[in-house]
Amino acid sequence: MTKEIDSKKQLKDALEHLNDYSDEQLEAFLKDENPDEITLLKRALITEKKPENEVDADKEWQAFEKAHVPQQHQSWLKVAAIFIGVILVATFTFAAIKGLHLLQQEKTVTETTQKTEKANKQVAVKLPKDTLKMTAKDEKNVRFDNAELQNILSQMALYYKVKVIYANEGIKHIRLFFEWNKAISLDENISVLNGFQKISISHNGNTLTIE
Amino acid sequence: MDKLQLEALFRQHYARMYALARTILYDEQDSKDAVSDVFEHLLSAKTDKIPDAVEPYLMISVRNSCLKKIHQKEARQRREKIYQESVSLASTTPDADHERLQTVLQFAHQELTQQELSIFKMRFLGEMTYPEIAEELGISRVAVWKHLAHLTALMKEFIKTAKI
Repeated sequence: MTKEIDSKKQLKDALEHLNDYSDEQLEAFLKDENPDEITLLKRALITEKKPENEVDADKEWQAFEKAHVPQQHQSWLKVAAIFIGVILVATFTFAAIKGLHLLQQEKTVTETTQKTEKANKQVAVKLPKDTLKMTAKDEKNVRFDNAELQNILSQMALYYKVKVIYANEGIKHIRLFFEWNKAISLDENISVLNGFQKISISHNGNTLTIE
Repeated sequence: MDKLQLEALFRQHYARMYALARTILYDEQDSKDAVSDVFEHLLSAKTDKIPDAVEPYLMISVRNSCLKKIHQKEARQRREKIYQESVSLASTTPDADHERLQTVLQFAHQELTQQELSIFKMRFLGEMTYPEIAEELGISRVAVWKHLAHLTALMKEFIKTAKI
């Protein structure tokens, strides 16, 4: 209250001796007394300038797109690069196995081969039929061909020890071709899956939310 | 939200959203940022669902985005008075607010003198100083202040009687 009286007293004094006050002080009197009036008139006068004509939506979209929208072709390039990488790894692995196989034949070591076959059989039993079996040495990659998303994610969830929550039933049955690379992190695999237009996966703690 | 869907919304509504932001924040860049924030939020939203009445939804989003910026600014600059107006702005719709501004505009052109309006624009929209305005108009800086004081007094009375 005292502050208010002081301010009024100061204003009265200012009106009598305006020349003694600086621009800043005069402005403060004006704004302290009429903050809403000044703001309201400023806003009204701006609408008169038709600010909607100041901007070019096309130009603004380009700037926005550049800054915020992930470039689709880049993500496809990423997917393509991963795909080529996987093929190269598979080729080398195949060649290595072939070489190993020849050596094994020469040495007639059957015990190890039996063990490997047994291991392969165990993997084949566990995986659903739309999962393609990879070569023994290529266990780091699991290829899903026209597989349902729920099949893919259930295996990944088991492997990475996470829970999967689907936003709706329909998403579970989306079919896709996907190469799961176990050598990279879950988040890296998710970013590949998020490259598919119909899928949006977010990873939060121990939960994957699929939308 | 899908990129194509977002682009369509952006191209269709950007100009009006920007215009609204300008009336609240004044500054061009701040206004662009406020609109951009709305679209950025839509882009990262994990849903394609936005209300059927798209335009009112976007306009309210812009208003909220502006108010958020004002409140951030308010925290930094306690003396910034636009905060007070923002309180009443939050309780009205963008359409009602637009109508209110048109009423103020009508009053300004009918009841204020041309010189008062020019001085107001120079000071508060053009950010000119008192001596600059005084020099431009060939009057004293005290006269500049008196014009502004008279204008704001009339505005105060108008707001009170028109209850806007």
